[in-house]
Amino acid sequence: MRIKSGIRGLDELIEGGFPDPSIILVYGPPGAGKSIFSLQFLMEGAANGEKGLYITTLSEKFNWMIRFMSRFEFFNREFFENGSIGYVDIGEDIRDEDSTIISKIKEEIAINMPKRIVIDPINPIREYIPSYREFLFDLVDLLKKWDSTVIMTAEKKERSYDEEMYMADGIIEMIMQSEGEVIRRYIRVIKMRGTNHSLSMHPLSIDDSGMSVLRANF
Amino acid sequence: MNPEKLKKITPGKVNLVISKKTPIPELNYQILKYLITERKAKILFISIEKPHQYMTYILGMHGVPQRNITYLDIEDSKIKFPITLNNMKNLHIGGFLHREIIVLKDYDYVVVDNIEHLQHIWTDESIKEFLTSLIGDANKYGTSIIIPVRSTENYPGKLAMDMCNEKIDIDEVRE
Ligand SMILES: Nc1ncnc2c1ncn2[C@@H]1O[C@H](COP(=O)(O)OP(=O)(O)O)[C@@H](O)[C@H]1O
Ligand SMILES: [Mg+2]
Repeated sequence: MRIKSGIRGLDELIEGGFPDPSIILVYGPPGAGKSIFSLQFLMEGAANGEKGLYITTLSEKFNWMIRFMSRFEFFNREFFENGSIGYVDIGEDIRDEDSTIISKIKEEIAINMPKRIVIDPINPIREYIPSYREFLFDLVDLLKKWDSTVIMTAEKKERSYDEEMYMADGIIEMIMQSEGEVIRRYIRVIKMRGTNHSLSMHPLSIDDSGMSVLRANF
Repeated sequence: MNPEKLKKITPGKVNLVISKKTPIPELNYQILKYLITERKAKILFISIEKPHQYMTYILGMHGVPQRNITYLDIEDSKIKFPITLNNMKNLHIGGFLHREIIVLKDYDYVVVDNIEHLQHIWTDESIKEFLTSLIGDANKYGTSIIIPVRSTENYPGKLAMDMCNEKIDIDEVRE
């Protein structure tokens, strides 16, 4: 089964949407649009009666996120207020040695019962957890048990993302590239299990209507 | 999903509960909660994809009493009804057990977990044998069967669709 991404132009590249259930890694540099991607994905679901859960690791206050996202046409604050989408900040938990992040996430899933889950971004947890690989293994096990579609974002610095990539059913790269005077945005599907997908770089646009994949490809 | 629609579950029948938009663990949860609180039923929960502790956890989080649930975990073992004292030893049982063996007579409802997952662990023949024997045995005692599914496109889903008496689509219809 396929689940619509909510990003205009993307589903056409991946046989109608993400495999459902699945874990999709979305990685790219700061400002590439990972959070916009994630929220557009959740909004698409909520508009269709699918519950969502947004987990941030950045100690980002709810109102702060709302402030940045409110101007997008796809964004509907009401979904957070009526329980269609849950918002959880685990920034404190990952800094706190005693807390176990997995049980916190497990609890939030049991409370919210989401069809769509976002963890934005996953990689800061690496700094606080002695065995990040083991943590990811347990996390994936938990998420698979819940049988929903999950977007995990990762901020790409110089490091590679072997561990995150290894466990993902799908990998999407968001690219910002200098071309002369300007920086252009692109998106590329690196991996999508069970899917005959394009491997090209597709130009991406972000404007007040949200994020869309443009037709031309290179 | 609209949990109100669970009222359509018919006693003594094989009920297919369909939702494209709800994760299977939530479907299981909603069904169990409904049967326990509204119908005061005795339930056998057949856990296919994951050990039943996960279901226990979710029900616990929401304060749903589990005194009337017996859990039967299908791990890789094939299961055929009626269960005999002989193969009972090899089964993973949890929760409340009415006697030293599982007999469908003791239950008002059997809820089957993610039947679609069986396509990854069993042959088509074993899946058919499991469902046929379960339904046959349940019919002897008038025990109801509930099978939640997200899709009827795969073999187990199609089979359940063919064998059920009632189909209940619990997705909210969009106006
Ligand atoms: N209304 C808008 N119109 C055009 N571009 C926007 C708009 N809002 C944000 N952006 C772009 O999106 C970027 C932020 O995207 P975000 O999803 O937060 O990135 P990431 O999570 O990958 O760091 C901003 O740096 C800006 O370039
Ligand atoms: Mg971000």
